[in-house]
Amino acid sequence: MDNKLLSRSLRALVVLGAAMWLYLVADNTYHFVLALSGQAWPASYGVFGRSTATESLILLALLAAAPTLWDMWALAGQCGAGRGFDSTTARRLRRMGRCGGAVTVLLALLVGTMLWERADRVDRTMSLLQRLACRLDIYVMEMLALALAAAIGTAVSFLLSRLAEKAAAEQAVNDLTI
Amino acid sequence: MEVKKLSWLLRALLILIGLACLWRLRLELYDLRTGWLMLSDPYETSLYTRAFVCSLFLSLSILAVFPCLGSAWGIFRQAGLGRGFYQEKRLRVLAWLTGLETALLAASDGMMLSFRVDRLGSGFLRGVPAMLDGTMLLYIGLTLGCAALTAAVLALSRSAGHAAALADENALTV
Repeated sequence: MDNKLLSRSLRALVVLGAAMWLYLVADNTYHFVLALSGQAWPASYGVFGRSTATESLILLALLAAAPTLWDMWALAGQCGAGRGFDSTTARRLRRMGRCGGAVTVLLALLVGTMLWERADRVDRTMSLLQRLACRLDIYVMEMLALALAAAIGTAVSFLLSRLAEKAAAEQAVNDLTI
Repeated sequence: MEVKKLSWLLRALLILIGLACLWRLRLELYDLRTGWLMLSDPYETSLYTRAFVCSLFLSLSILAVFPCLGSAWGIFRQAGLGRGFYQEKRLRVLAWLTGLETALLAASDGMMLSFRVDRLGSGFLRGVPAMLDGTMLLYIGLTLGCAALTAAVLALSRSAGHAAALADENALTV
């Protein structure tokens, strides 16, 4: 009963995550189209190019995160069925780790692009620290924190997959011994 | 070794969440201070009172995150030391804390909805979607997520209780 409650709560969290994912995809597609058509900042071609790059990277990161939602759903279901750490869990966790890695790389690229987007805020008279401070606004900080969280999530997935592999191997040895 | 690494990584995630909450708290406290100053305004008293109460609930809900993080830190630390499911009490405390967080977030949602009541003037079918804008949806999602987390932690604490009872029984049998 407790396993089922846990599984349902985890699945509710995944559904919420999926709803938020859909909302973000819809919102960012709208911004991407705006940036592509040059309606967002029609004044400068440079800004237009950089904003299109930012929006496309956000969309790509969101799309790369999609398979993890499915894997999380499956893992929550597995937990409800009372199945512990086995080879299927290890495979799913490894796939989640790979997706997480892709999201981390894309978010890191996004942070770089966002810093590049803010190139107009600095001039040559500023020191290196001043230039960095001008560019690091709340949006860049948010994406930086997200990239860090994605990197930690990736490492956690890979570590858990290794633990699952070990548990599956031990189980196989136990089965053979019996 | 891997469990230790896992424990450290999860604690790093907690630190990141804590920093984000501190950042958000700073902004919310500024709003709270402004709301307090606005309360002395003789006009629009009702609006400013609602704004102040809303900021108060939001600040309280952010403050309530820190005990949750502390409790989760303890659980991850114990897990890193190789102690598995002997943490029923800690998990139950965490469930209480996340429950409190859910209640505070729900109260903030209610106050935020009260700000958008004027939008109902255009009719219920048009007014409700107008009330549920991006910010509102984000906070409702956060509240629901917190409720799901509370249920998950409660279920985990019960499982931990069962596991501990089984271990005690086995020890007695041996």
